[in-house]
Amino acid sequence: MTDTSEMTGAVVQASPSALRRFLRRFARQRLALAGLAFVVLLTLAALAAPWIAPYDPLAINLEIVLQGPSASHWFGTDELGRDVFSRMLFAARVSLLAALQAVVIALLIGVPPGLIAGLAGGYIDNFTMRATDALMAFPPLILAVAIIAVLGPSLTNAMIAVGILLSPTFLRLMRATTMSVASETYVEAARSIGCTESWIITRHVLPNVVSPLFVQISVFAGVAMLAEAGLSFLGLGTQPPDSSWGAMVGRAIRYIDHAPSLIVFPGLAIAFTVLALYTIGDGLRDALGREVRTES
Amino acid sequence: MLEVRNLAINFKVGSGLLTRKRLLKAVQQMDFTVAAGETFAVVGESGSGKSTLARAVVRLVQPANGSVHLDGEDLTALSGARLRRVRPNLQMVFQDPYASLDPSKLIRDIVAEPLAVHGRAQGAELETEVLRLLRLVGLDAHHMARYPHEFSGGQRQRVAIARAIALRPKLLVLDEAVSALDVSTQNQILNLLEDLQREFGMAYLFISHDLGVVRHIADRVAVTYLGRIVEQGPTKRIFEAPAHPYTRALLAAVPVPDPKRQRANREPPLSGEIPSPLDPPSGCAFHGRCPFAQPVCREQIPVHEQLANGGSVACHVRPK
Repeated sequence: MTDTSEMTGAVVQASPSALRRFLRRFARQRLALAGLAFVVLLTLAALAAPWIAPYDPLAINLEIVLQGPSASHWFGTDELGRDVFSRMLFAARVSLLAALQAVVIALLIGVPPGLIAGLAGGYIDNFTMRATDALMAFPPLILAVAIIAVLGPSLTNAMIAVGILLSPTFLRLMRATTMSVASETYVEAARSIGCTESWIITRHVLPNVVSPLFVQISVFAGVAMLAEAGLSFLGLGTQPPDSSWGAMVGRAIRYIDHAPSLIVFPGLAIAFTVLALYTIGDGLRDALGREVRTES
Repeated sequence: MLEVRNLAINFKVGSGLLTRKRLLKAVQQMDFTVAAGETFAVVGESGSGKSTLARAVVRLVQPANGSVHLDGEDLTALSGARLRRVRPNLQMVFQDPYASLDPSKLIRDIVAEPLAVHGRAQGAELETEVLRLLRLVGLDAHHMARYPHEFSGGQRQRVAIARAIALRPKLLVLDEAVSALDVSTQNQILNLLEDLQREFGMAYLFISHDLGVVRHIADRVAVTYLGRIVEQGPTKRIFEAPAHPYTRALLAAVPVPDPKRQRANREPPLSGEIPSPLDPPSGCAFHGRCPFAQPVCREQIPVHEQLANGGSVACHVRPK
């Protein structure tokens, strides 16, 4: 495998595209690949839940309540005799969608003002950052509960709350990277050849600030999933008869003496998915990192 | 063609939170002209304001005072779309070729950008023009689909030059354009610049700290010290009969590959560092380091006086 970072200008070889270079560098990281494979499989399984689930996730069968794992019920049954494996497949849809919602909301709230603050500087930057500081000064859980109290308990409202809570980090990240990119010589060079400011922002600033954003997105998808689990555990997120992994853990805790396996499977699902998202984030960070500069 | 009059550039420094913001006078009372097709060099130590001057000439910084005229049009009075319209006439090559090319763009797009922005060419015509420009600077078609990080410093500077000459500027500002390169690459780039000047008749504003390079390429030279021009004149005169003690000290510091001449060249060495432009000395800014300083140097800022053998000097003493 050739390594472009070790390539000197004198021995330039056929040029791979930026995407191919990124893919090659990402593919070199086993752990990140495993994480990606896990998340992709999980997503496919969640999408195909109605077809691959062995039982109706809502079908109550009071003759087989709180059973442990068996050949007919892989992950056992819950307090109403529902198949835990089937329920988890459907809950995966809720959990993944929730994480997606929260991250999209956080991006929508955080990225544009971060970009503007980083580019404008001065009073606009100052005002934006102080508002962000104020938001970050709130204890996150209390703020989330307060937001849900205002909007009413539902999964979407919970994810709006999580999105709002995650947005300051996106804002700060965007502001910091935008500021450093905007002061790069190539931006000045673009100005000197007569590019308009909007041309500079769309062609030179944005392409160079998205990499750190991708890393943060995958890490925050994990954080959002944890937050959803936490809020649903408290009963502030997913409402019955829907279920997310967090909500399943929340209900299972009441039967922890009789059926400890009930809490184990959704708990493991949360842990593995969050871990997988983090390793993807790590892999992205390493794959998107700047090439080592080579001197002539 | 280029006429810089009484130029002054200030920066505000400091946080302004706990301490008062201070005024850094980077460039003061600079006067010079550059004729069409000529190479005018500005030399000085780091901190002498020469890079700031370059950035003011291409209007990347707004001067506090004075004017920059290009073919009679005052650039300092322009902004927005009107400024963008004159920008093709004066282009800049930056010092660090590792920083001046957008790492996310292909070489093709980097060189095509000025043409695209000013609507000079598009489609197949643009492609042909980019290739022509790359060949002018010694690169070729297979370089087009590469990224800057795949190139050496010298090759990157060639790309930067191709991009700068794409709009056929009348003036090319070269801000330390070869100082980041190693010596053999420097020579190649200098030769390329000379070839391009012969072919297109561009004028160069050549900013450098390297006297050897300046002597080789410049028609006229201005020596700057702490934001002011202390001496200017034809290259031959500056190098053979330097009038300002600072110029003499600079030239004496250039090593000569002949011990006898090296010894004969030796001037009283300069002591100390270049003072902070935040707190410039009174009178002649050079008086603290000047071996010939007189009381008057401390009190009055010297004005430029014409020299019989060409150019001008700003010095009270003018030692023989």
